[in-house]
Amino acid sequence: MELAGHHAAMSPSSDPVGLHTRAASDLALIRETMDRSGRFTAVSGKGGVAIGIVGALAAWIASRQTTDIGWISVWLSAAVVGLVVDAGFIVAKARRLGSPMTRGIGRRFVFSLTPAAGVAALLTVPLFSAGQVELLPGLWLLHYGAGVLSAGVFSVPAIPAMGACFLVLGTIVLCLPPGWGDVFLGAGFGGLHLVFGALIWRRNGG
Amino acid sequence: MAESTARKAARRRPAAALTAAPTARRPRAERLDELIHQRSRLAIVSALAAADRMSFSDLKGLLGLSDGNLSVHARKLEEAGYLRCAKSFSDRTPLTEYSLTAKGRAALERYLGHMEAIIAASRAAAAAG
Repeated sequence: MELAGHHAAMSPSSDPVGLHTRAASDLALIRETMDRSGRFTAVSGKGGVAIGIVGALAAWIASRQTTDIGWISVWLSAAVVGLVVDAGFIVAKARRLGSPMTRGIGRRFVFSLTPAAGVAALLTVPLFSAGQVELLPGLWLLHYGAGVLSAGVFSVPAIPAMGACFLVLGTIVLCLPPGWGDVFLGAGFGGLHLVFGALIWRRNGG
Repeated sequence: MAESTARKAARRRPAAALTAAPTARRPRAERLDELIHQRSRLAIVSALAAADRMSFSDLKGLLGLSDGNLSVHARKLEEAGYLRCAKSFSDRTPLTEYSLTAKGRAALERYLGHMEAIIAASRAAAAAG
């Protein structure tokens, strides 16, 4: 990190051009330092809280469905809404911090999370077609937990901790008789996101 | 004609020009935190915001600062309540670890807001004429 290299641009000045240069230089320094310290910090706590609300609502609505197609439609809709909302918050935070998701640590974060989520989506189709709906909550929780745990290596400590909690919930629900799926999905996609989202919001700047 | 407050402040203390500038031109540039306006201290706070906790030697290596420089800047930040310093032993070797406090994190957030506001104001001024 060449702190001295930017010295000229850092001289306080009331000149608007100097101020602009100084501000841009400071933002670049913050971004570079954060990247070099090895953590993807643009994970949004606000986004986590938003997903938590969507997850909790989905669990409540899904538990009232009387058909498998109605049940899975609720959860798939919640997944799409949650993904869009969270992506919006993360992109906004990444832009604010100048930490793009298409390169560096942000790219590694996304690539670590995507495979596990993709496998869960793929396995959902044959399992649902075969009528194995009761396996889906465990499958989703475990795969999401595995993805979050892997991606969390590149992010703030709350992320891998949340991934581990998802793995615990997924393991437990697979051991229980059918009927507990919505409770555990609500606890995971609702409760864990709310708790860890609030924690990240408070501790990691939004 | 009386000299403007901003000019007086700029002459006395250059960085104060930011805080004394007319609010219509830089509405969010008030109360600029001069403690993290200094580049080394800004880098220390940014590194700890990303990594949560770092040892003295890791921080020194990351930022390319000397022992003395890092000590001085870290002490200033600690005195302001922005940093927390924990001293312990690891394999009988002294270990100093720093972490950011909630106050320090909030200060960095505010500072980011100030910098963004300055850039936005500068772009708006350039677009206007």
